[in-house]
Amino acid sequence: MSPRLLASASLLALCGLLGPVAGCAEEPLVLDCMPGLTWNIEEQRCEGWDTGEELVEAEPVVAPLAAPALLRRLSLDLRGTLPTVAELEAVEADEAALDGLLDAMLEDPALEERLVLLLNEEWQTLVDDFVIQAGDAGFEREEEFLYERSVGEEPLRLMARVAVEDRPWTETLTADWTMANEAMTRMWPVALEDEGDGEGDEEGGDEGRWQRARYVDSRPAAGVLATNGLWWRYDSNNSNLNRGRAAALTRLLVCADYHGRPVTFTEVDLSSGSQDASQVDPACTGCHAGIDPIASALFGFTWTERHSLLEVSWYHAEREPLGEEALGVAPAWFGQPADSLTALAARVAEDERFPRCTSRNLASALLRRHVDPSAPDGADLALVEALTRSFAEEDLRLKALLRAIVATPEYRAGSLTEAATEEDAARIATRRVLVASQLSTAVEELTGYRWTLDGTSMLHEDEVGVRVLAGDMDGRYVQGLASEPTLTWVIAVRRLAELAADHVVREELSGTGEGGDGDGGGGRLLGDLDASHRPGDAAFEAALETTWWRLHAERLDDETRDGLVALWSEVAELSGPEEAWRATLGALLRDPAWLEY
Amino acid sequence: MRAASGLFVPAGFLGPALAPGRARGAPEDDERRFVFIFCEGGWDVLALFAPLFDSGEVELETMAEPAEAHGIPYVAHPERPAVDTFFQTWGDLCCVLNGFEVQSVAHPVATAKLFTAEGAAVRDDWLATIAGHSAVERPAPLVVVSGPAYAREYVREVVRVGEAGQLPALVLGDVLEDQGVSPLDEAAAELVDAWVRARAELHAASAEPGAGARVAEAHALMLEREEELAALAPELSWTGGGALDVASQLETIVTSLASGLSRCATMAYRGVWSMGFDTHSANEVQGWHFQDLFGHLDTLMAALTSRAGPDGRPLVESTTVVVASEMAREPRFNVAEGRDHWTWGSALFMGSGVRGGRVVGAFDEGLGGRPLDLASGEASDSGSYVNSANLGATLLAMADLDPAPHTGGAEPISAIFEG
Repeated sequence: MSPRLLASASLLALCGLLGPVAGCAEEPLVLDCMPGLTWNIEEQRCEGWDTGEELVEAEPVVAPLAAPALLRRLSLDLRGTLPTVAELEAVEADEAALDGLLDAMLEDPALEERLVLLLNEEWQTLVDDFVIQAGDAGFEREEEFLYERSVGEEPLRLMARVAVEDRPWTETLTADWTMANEAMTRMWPVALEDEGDGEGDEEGGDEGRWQRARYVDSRPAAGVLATNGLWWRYDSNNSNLNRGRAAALTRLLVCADYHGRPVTFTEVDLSSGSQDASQVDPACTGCHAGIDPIASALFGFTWTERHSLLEVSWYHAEREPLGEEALGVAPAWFGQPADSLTALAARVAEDERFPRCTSRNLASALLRRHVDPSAPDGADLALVEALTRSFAEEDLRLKALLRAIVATPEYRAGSLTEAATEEDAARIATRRVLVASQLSTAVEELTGYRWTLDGTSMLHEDEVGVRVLAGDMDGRYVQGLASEPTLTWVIAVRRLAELAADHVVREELSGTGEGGDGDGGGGRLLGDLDASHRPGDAAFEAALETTWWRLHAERLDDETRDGLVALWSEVAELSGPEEAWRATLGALLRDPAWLEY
Repeated sequence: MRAASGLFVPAGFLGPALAPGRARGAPEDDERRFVFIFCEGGWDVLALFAPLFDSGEVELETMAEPAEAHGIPYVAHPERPAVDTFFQTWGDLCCVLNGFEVQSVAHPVATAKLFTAEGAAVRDDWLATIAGHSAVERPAPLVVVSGPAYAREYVREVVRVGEAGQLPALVLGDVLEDQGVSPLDEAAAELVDAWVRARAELHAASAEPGAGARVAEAHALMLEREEELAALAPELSWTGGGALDVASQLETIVTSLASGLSRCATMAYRGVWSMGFDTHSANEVQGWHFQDLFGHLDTLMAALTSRAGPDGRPLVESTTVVVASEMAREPRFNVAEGRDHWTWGSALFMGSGVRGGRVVGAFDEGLGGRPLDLASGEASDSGSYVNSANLGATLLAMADLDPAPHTGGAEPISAIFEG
């Protein structure tokens, strides 16, 4: 088979993966599958251009998850929690119930929280340190976590809010509002638009409750491009002249990675300084011709004193003209003039690469792999184009894109078929591990336990917490989620399991808890169980079976049940029933199968 | 035996002379070990490795002076006596690589290139690759005390300690105490562990091919390693001092190597008060960092000399240390008396297998790298420019691996190492 046809075959395998979402089976792909192939509308198949040889549609390379397991994956990805018993039973009784449950998940308030994390996988603003330290921003030591998340989440919250309100994704670039909490008003020129539900955020009570807000320093309307949180994460020094920020924008918004291009000073004439060379030396201008006009538009965020809270918190409209002066080029976005930050953002919104890049990034997050349209086999190119089309057809509503991604056979894959190649086996994440942020929300919803220390959520940061050790990313040194269990992940899971099990026993059995809700989202984890119940009692059996059902989305089999009862009984004999439940729940929360999805 | 100057030695760091580490698998555990110290921010080689005093194209510090020790010329400064002490004490074990290019001036990209030769996290870093090819099973093949690490194929080999030393607290169970929770009694805990291990083995045995098998097998393996680490933990002098405490980080590295816990270790050195090397202004800070860094390197080398590895030999005989930065700084000062980013830099190799007392490669008068004869280490117009792929190939070759599959075919700089 010629390389071209080999690529085509691979693509067709992917067409099978795309399924109805891409329109592969129903309509032609926008790109006629890929350059070099044409789509035969009548026959609903791709054809090679040069030989006319018709390509045989490849067999599927993945088999789908069972409906309850798929529900579990969707729930963990879109809500960060396990499905409820009622949801599991609905899907167990009728697979078609899944569609309605997916609809509900896309309307669930938890989606906004998950989008913050999913978007962060590319934007990486959830870091632990910024240009200003918490203390210098007026935050107490125990408020450090609140401070870090307030800053880091701002751009992500804005995007997530656009998504959950089903607004066009371009509004992330054109919005004249932002998202903020009470704590942020203490340091930034931002005023909250009271939404007034009165419910505090658990990160910091009312101080941490996110709501719409507006900057009051007359900064231009430019959505995320006008957020302090973005520029506190992507800093620039006085030599760099906002070029690093411009490169961050092109990477984040249109997937054009200038930083990734090789830079060599071998042939560069730097006799008159690197700033001059960047504008005249052919070895430099290739990139700088693209980057510098964008950087030129960002001078309202240029700081003269990086450690002054006032300086870095307020927008400096008077410095906007300095961009052209310092860089020698007028503000523009890839050749399109942009005389203001608002205009720059509008140019980005018009750029056809913007929705494509969004599709690619969100697909990477949900498929748990690096989606790379430049990959030689063309498979990811077709995937991204298909997703982008679905996105565009729904007026760039992110929920539509989410729906398209989770509808792909690759997302729903539970195993490989015999048709799968080694490359498929290496690429497709048929199983994923729960990482810190998911462990946090899933365990809290299940047991009522939240692992905190002095105001810090231990599974969400790294200065005292174990976010990275538990498989998550820190946005600096670790820029991707764990693809498999690591030593530190196993140990962190052990401690989380022990702590959560202890919490459940205190709250539900021994009566020594502090009266938290501990209800795992609508009811006690252990149901009607009390310390007097023994194996064989209905409450005992129900507690085991229900807990297993919720954790695994599979029914407890007899052999496993017997093993758990044996474990419980041996520990009970040694230390009594409460310790037995502490041990059994701790074991259940370390079970390898529940820690995957 | 050579000794450290003593200025930077934490209590107990050097340990009893040649105290044998826990001999896990000894004497088979005689593989070369590696330590990578990453100097974050882009160091100024004109303040240390590049004594271009005769060049009219570079600007040096006013009080800088040329110096040489054990055949290594360097830039001395009266405020950096630790640098002199270091080279005078350990110069015969050191090889300086001058004039290699990381090919980026953006910190995150340059860092990824230094560690992997790629500009993004798409490939395992040098030490993860070495750890992944080890013939000896260790609980923490690559221990990352602080800073970056890149793992793709060898995710399971990389063990982070945590920027504040969180891992010891997790292993030893201090985190339970912090929450007012007492551990299960030992017998109950063993029952739980046995149940979890049995479940992991069952799960791995029934896992679907592909990611299912990879994840399940890794889980079972990590549970085994957890058990081994827990057994070793009481012997480890992990202080968990955090990223700001360089001495504690080095102690964690040495104890990890000596105990057989790890083959490779990496840490980030961020300078005095964690200010970093990114001196676009106030370039004198570089000098503060070098004075501090070389005091710590002196202590590290003394510890590697005085402490034995799992094979009973002094660690220095089996451990190669590399000190490098993701980029260097421009030949001339900018208006803020700092220096901006520069692609051509230096690295320091020392310890096991290193041909000491020499400089490999060279800078031209404008601080550009000169082509290099990889075998002789001499600058040569018929040689090749070297970059981070060559640095990585050198480390892989020193670990007895074929570098080519991991470096895109880049060759090792054989002048750096023996054999």
